[in-house]
Amino acid sequence: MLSRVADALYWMSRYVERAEDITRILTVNFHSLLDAPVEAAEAAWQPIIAITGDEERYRQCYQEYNARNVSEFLLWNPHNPNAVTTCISLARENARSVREQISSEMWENLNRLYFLVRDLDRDEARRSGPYEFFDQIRYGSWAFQGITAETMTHGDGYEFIQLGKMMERSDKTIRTLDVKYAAVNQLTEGPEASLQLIVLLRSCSAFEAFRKTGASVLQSGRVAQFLLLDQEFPRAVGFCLNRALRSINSISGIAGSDAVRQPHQLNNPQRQIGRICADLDYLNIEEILDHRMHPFLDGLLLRINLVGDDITRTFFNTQVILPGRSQQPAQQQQQ
Amino acid sequence: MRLQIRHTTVFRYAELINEAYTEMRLRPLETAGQRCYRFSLTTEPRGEVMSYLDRYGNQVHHFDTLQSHQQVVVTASSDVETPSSFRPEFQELPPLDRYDFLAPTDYAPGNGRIGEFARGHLVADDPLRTARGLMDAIYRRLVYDPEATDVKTRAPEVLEIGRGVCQDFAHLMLAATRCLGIPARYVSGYLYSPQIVNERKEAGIAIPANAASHAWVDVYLENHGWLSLDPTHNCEQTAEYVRVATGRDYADVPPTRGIYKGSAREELEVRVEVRAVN
Amino acid sequence: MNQQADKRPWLLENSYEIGDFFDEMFAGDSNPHRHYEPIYEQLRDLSRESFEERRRQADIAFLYQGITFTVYNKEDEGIERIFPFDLIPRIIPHQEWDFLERGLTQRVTALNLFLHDIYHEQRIIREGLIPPELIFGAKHFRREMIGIHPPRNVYAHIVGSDLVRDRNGEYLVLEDNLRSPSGVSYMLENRQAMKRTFPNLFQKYEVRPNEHYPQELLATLRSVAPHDMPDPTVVLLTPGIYNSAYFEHTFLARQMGIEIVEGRDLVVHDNHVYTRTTRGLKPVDVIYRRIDDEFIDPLSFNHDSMLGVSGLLNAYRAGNVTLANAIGTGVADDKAVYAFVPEIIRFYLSEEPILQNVPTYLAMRDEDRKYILDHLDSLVVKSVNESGGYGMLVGTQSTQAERDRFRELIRIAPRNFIAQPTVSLSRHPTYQDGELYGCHVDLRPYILCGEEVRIVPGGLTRVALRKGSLVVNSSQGGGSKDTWVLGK
Repeated sequence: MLSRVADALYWMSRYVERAEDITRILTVNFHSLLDAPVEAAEAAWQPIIAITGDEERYRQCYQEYNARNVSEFLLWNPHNPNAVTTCISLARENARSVREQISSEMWENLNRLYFLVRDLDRDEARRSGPYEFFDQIRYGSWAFQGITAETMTHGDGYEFIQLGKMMERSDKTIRTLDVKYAAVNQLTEGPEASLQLIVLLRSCSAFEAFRKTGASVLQSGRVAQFLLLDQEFPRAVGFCLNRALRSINSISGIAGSDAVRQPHQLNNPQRQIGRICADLDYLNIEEILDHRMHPFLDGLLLRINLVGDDITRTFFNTQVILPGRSQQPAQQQQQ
Repeated sequence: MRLQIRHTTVFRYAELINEAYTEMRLRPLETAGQRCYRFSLTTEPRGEVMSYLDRYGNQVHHFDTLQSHQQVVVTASSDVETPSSFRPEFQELPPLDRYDFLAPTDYAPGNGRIGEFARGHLVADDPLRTARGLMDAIYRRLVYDPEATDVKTRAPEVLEIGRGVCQDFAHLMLAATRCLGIPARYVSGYLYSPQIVNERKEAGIAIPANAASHAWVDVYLENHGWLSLDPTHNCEQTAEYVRVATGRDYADVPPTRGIYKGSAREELEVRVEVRAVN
Repeated sequence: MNQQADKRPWLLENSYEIGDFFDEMFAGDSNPHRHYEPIYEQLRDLSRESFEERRRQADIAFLYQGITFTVYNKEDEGIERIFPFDLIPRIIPHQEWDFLERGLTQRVTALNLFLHDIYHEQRIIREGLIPPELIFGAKHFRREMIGIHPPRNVYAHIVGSDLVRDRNGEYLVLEDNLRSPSGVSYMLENRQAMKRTFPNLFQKYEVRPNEHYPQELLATLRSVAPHDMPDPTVVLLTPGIYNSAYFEHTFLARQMGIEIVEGRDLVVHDNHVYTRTTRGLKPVDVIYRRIDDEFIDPLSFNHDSMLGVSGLLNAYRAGNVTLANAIGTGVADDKAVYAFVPEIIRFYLSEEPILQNVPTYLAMRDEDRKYILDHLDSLVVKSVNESGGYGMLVGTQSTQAERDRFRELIRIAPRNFIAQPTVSLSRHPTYQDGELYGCHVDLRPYILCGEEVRIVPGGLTRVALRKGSLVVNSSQGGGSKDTWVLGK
């Protein structure tokens, strides 16, 4: 597959996922603040910007944190490169540049989503609350994922789409956990802390899934463990990274995870992401609770970002590998 | 005269660049009595050197350097026998040559002042005397000065400032002869001339490392053929001249031309050594 | 319900005016030509609501499928537009098409021989049939191509010739496009749209299919691979998503099942061309390029081009890759060279031209120039190097200021201008703003040259939608129709 095409598919997928994640985080907070005291509002909106990592840019645009400013910033502020509208148009631009690589159904779906976002009556959305709009974005994203799975050949291109989605999602889950966990930790156990944990879980669409694990009490350590390490919930970091590794293996020419290559044959993304997965597999959650959570998540985020860089270098960069001149394995020369 | 030439070009970059493509016109022509017994071209880093003939019959060598690098050295060595004078067999000028060697070019446009200058030396119905007269006039009008112009200078500026190097003399000559309907072409090559180097040294003119590179002009006389004139030295081509490439103007025959990826600036160092062997 | 009232043909309730033109559908007595009778009857029986609804569906389908082209305005901001589609098809009877097919095959064969000649022996110039300055001074004459031998000596593999019909219905060639003619995707999409919206119309006719065009194109491209290789890798080289024809590039690549690449996806090493992939470099043999000569190789042409591939010309010269179309084909669609095409056909084929040119005056000829300058108000003056309807003066619709400007331009650079009498282009009934009226049309068939010449029946019928306008280009307010060539 062309490096440029792989690059575009990967980013198309990341942007769709980003738009969905930001929308969901906004939705959950709108809901939770409906019955919250007014003075809590400022404190509740600020962390949302922290999750997206765009605090500095936000402060350049607005004085205070409130529903109106935050949603405007996250939805359509032109100065915010991660605004939902921007994400959708970037996803579409990327799709457009590889129009022939994706199915017509995917393109039509993304195009509809784009026109929906572009033609949205913003004043009306401000007046009546943007819930319907949020829903449309989220359903649009889900439809996109479903259409992708059902209409596109599950080859390299598909794997790059999966990879982009998983990389973006793990990033957002970690950021959400980081910000919300800190907030919960400042509270003593009680109804307020439980409410915050519910918001955290809902921000990751994880409330019901968490309940089904049999956890009878909402306790921050258990929630963190679930969001970090669960292997079956599709927004848990462990799940995301394992799926990402599977895609990288497939892209790199390894069918299935059984056929493990010799370590020296692994490329950098395989090596790095494999290490992170192993670290998570053997992690004792007790070691990172309370004040140790933030440094741990910070470090994890950094490592995942470095994997992103490795993916770029290995698969997308214009670095030229000459054909037919690959290096001979060292042992053959020793004979 | 038997001459050996060593032409070294060093491309240096402030930072790593990659995907460099280089074309060179460095091989002496096999034409009108000139023979090239040996020619070699090596590059460092080493790469496969390929070649083709361009539309003017010049041999173009080229190679690519895809991997990251900061320096490329190209060394061209040749061993040439030159005739005592340039006397090609008479041939009717093909239509495309007639068009190309009469049409104004970027370097040598036929603008008003050049036309005026050229017409001042027109000898009616005698293109040979006209061409020689123009060569003489340019030789007298321009002062040789390596500091006054650069590789991009065009003929009108040369006439304006009255100074320049062989390339500028040649471009002015091309523009002027073409104005008068005499087909003319640019010749790039080498000049072996220890005495001229000495004279210039004594006159206090700095001698660059590539001083042996030279440019002059061929003019086409109907029913007679090509005649090779050097307006920088006001003489016909002699045994000390080595012809490497011909074209409409400098743009057709630069010794090296290339393109690369990266933002680093390129510095070029050229050394040319010519020696006579018995 | 009263059947009598329904018989009233709403489409024709505002009486359709044939005017002083050849009308594709109606004969002089306002009755449809024979081959239009079935469609005429169907349209007559259709209610306005039903027609409007189908039209709306077709537009939506075009928009959602992204069948758009990009228009650039003064602020350089690209706007995506759908290419307006008219639901009433243009119909060409089979004997008419046979004639066109023979004429186009002859023309394109001669033009390829001409291109080979001017980049080799230049016989046509040496023998005095074409003035040398006309060829050597042409903007698209490429000295780099001299001596290069493209596989099978084919230069123009894909040609789009624009045909018009005069007042008597005679077909004339208005211009040839030998660089990278566009629009073929609309030809294919129009057929799909027609089939979706008016399936039953097809039952009344034996319409020759055109869906196989991409396969024919691929076969043509494969047949000109270097060294006659059996299974060449073909790619389509596009300038990228900001090109106005990008939709078409992706469409054709998808239909042919080949990779669509940008310049940055390709790399040349030791005179061979490769694509950059996630698993290293892969060789490329044939490039269907939709990038102009000037931008295709920054080493040899425009050094600032970000779209091209360095070293491509050298790989091409070495015979390791085929470019379709070849470099330097533009000299054959120069509008001044156009005037010589009948001569070119006679010279290389020793045949009389089957298809005629529109009479053309060359401003470079003294007597022609005088005639042009004396008749600026009645002629159409065209700049020889421009396409897409730019750089044109339509005398009958021009102002004094425009004529003065062209007078000056012609004086400065006569080589760059030609003039033709205003051809009274044929018209075709077209549905616009709730009524049916006659719009001027042309026809661009797509001719493929590889091992052999192949022409998919039909082509793109372009329509000048603005009332009275003669300009059919998509960038200038044109639309299009499905074009039906009938079987025997």
